[in-house]
Amino acid sequence: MLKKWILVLSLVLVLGLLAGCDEPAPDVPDDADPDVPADVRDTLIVAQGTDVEDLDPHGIASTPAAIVTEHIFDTLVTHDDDFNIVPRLATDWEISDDGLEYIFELRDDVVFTDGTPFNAEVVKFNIERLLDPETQVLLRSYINMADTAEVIDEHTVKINLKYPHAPFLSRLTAASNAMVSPAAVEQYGEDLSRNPIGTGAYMLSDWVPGTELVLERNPDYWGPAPEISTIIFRPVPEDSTRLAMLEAGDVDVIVRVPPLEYDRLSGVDGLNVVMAPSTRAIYVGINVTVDPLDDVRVRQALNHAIDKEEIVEVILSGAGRPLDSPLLPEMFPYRQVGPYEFDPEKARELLAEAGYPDGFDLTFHHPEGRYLMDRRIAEAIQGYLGDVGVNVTLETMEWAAYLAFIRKPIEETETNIFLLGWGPWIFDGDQMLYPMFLSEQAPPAGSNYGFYENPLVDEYLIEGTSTTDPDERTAAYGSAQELIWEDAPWIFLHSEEQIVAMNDALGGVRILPIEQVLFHEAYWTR
Amino acid sequence: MTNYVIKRLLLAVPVLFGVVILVFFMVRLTPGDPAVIMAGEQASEAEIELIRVQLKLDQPLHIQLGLFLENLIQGDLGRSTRSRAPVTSEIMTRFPNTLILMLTAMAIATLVGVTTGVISAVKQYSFFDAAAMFVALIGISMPVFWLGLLLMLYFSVNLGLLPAAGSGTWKHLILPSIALATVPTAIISRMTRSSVLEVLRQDYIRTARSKGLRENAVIIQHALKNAIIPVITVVGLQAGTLMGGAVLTESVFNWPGLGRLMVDSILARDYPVVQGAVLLLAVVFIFVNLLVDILYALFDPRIRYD
Amino acid sequence: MTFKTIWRQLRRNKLALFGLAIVVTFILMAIFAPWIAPDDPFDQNLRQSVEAPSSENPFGRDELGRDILSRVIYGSRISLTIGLISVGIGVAVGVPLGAISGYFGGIVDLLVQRLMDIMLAFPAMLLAIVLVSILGKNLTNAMIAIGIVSIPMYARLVRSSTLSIKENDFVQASKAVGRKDMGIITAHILPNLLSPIIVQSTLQVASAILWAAGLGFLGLGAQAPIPEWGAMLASGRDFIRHAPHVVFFPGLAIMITVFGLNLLGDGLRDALDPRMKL
Repeated sequence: MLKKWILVLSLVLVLGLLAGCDEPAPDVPDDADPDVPADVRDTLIVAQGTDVEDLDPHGIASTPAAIVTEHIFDTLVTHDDDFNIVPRLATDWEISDDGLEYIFELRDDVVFTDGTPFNAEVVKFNIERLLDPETQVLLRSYINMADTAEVIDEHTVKINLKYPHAPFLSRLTAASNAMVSPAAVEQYGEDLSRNPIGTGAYMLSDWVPGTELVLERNPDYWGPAPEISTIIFRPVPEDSTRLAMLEAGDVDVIVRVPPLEYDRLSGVDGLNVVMAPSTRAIYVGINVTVDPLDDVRVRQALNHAIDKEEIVEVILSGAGRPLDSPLLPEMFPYRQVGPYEFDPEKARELLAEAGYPDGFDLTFHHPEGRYLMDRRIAEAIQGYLGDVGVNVTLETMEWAAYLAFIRKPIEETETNIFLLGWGPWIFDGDQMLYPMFLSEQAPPAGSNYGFYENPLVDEYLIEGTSTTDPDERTAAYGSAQELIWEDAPWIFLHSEEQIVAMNDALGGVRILPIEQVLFHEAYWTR
Repeated sequence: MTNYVIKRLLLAVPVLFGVVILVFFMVRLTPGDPAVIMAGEQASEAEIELIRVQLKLDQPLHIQLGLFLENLIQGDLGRSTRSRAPVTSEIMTRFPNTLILMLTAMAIATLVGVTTGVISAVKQYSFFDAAAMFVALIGISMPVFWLGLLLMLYFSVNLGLLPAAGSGTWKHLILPSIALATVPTAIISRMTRSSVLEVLRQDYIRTARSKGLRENAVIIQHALKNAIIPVITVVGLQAGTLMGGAVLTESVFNWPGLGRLMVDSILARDYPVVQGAVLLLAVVFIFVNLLVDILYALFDPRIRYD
Repeated sequence: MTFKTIWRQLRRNKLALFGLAIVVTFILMAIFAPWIAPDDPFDQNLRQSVEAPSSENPFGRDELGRDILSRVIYGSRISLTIGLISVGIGVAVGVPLGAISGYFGGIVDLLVQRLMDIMLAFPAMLLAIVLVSILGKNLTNAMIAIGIVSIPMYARLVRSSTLSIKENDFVQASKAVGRKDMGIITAHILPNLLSPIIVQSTLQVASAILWAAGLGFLGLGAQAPIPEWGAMLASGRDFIRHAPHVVFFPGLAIMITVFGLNLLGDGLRDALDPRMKL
């Protein structure tokens, strides 16, 4: 009897499910309206993709951490919305003609939340802490051109550089170069990462790692007082969970919305979905030292074989811009030099010219879950290259193993082509071009993972980083961009767009192209 | 009994030591370098080398192991390479969450599983029996994360009844513990059913019935008591499986537990946290097994551990 | 116990037959995938990304515009391989370990059991994750990891069965006439272990498929563009609300297959090992 019953039920289930195949499962109705209380709120809940590891700004390297530290700490200078460098803790600055000395005038009305006054001594302390090899600084390349700091008077400080470095001011805008309280460093030592004391608009009130991080408004903030009194950051790694939480009204803002959800989410009542440019460039690195990738015609052919427009439009649902230069339009000094038109015919011709009319085999290493739709993009590229006769084998790697794999020096490297992204924290093109295309930055030294080498490009890049004159820099970097584009050391793909979704009663949220979402000026309209 | 417990605890020492050594080398065998991961794509080798020195990763393995064991004996598990917080505090902020989730799931599983199992056995071949066993089979055939996603979409996004994810209130606990409880509920109910059926066939049950005891009394006093031993075994065994399920459930529901912390730490090569968390889990696991064996003895007078 | 008697037992159990039918369909699908599948499972059609099911593509298309029906059909090959290889590893290592441990006892037993204790002290899923991280993320390594994780289960099962078989008269008699230990193990112990191993393995194939899906969910499963069901399901979760069919069908395939394996496993247990009746 029992077995008969189960049998009947099983049959019903299987048949029912199979019958259900014809019509797709009905779409979930979009009736989830976040409940908005009548009175105006002053609390904000933000869901980020990953947990903040560390709140000692000198020790951070991740965007989620930077978003939080940017609310707690201030840097000396910062960017406005047009990417000009503007005052923050420093009111004015002067650069010596040789580009080696930077003198900053500091605000005289700033106090850390532990009562320590902010002054020239503090800046000197911070610069020295950042340069100290004992300090765990992850983004040393943003500060290691600095040499010493001198106190000139209470509110004037001089920073000396080891060598002229044009983007130095720009580097001082990076969140990892923010000013921390010397007294707090003294008191907490390594535990500063749990007890951040800054001068910023907010201060840490509670932090349960993995659960939530609560910021409270700093009552003594030197700038305009923020409207929102409490910001709660929650780490929610699963994309679908983050979406569900926003739609259920559990959180007010979510970052890193999967692009495929953009259209649907935009139609949901009560939500404001913003697609904003990001300066994260996505590319396929090419190991230019292996046969046949050492032939520039082959590399150009690969660039022509891939329909980047289609990748952006279909896989990223429009959340991207195809690259037309090694730099992005937000960066100084961008020059449009592309694009490589999608032209499989031309790709085949170039391959034939290079002696590969029947194509060849390649291994394509790529991470998964690191960049927007990375695995799907890799699969699509496999498809495109297959169409012009290049037979691609995909190797998906776990991020940790992948980083170790692509960082191997030239004697040990096993790379052919590999998928990577690059998202500098500043808008100066130096941070894009120098580490990626300078020959001496090849692994293990730096990030020129494809071992690209062009002496002329080297010359332009070194000129661009050491000359302070903006016009000369523009000229040098312009030529570098053209040469790099022509040499095709990458398959130039696209830059990502970041999608941020929030309650539509929320205003004043700043979304920076360096993927920071800031709430200093945020407010509720109801 | 006391002797037995002491003997078991002593036996646990080499196992724990083995776990510690094994995990120490396993995490270091994984390709990838914590320093490289921390520094990210933007770092130069010089920066990475400095981090390596700070983390003592530049030291030979045996020195690292010596340092680790030396600190371990003093109760110091080191600091997380990612967050720089002490491993003990990292683990202890998460462990209670996992414990609550697992205990709730286990309570649901035991309660529902035993109840349906007993009813199914008593009303063998009824519609209830068939339906329960069918659902149980489906329950163990579903990927946990898939079920979790479906529950979340239906109950929180669609119906708006429960929070989609996160933690903090009892409401947050409902969906993840249901998702996590599904497999053990199914297993326990199947086990209970078969072991109650087994017992119901025995002579002493017939005797009890023939003495005119009420059916409920027979079942509760005699059948259940004797059927409980295999059920305890299954409950004990499920503790380990549950932790595996917790890894996935915690990811889906964003539950800030140990499972998620461990996966993140493995992927980020945060050696100290992985070592500490595995050690803690091993201790818990051994403790649960011991508890199961003691419970055996309590429920079955025939078992003696002397 | 011959196949004939197993079959006779099984034939009386309609439910197990139903499970067997599902499993056989699954195996046939795997073998004849290239002939059954209406489309190339790797053929991309970006312009038809996540198209809903239609008469042309009964299961719809996935995010790269590939025919999901064909991918599900080809996926049965992957799942079958995962199940067989990982179970093979578990059996190949776990059975000898358990048999030796149970038969010889003493120090060998102690060492093997402690080793198994150490392995069991890791939650299986986490051990699999660590192993995949060490070996590298791909399908083969996922299978190896799942196989290794299942070793202690076989070792335990075989050890306890060996302990009871060892006490049987025929084993003792063989010993008395001076037969070599290895001879006794292969001639007497192993054949008697067959039933529990077959039952356990059928159920283990089901678990392996679920574990592989779990690894896929955590991004540690099959390489793209392999149509592994778990990986398909996991990658579809990004747009589960937008295009539910992408997750629905691979999930369904997993569920039905595992369901069939469980039914068959239960049936085999009833047929082969009445003591373990569920």
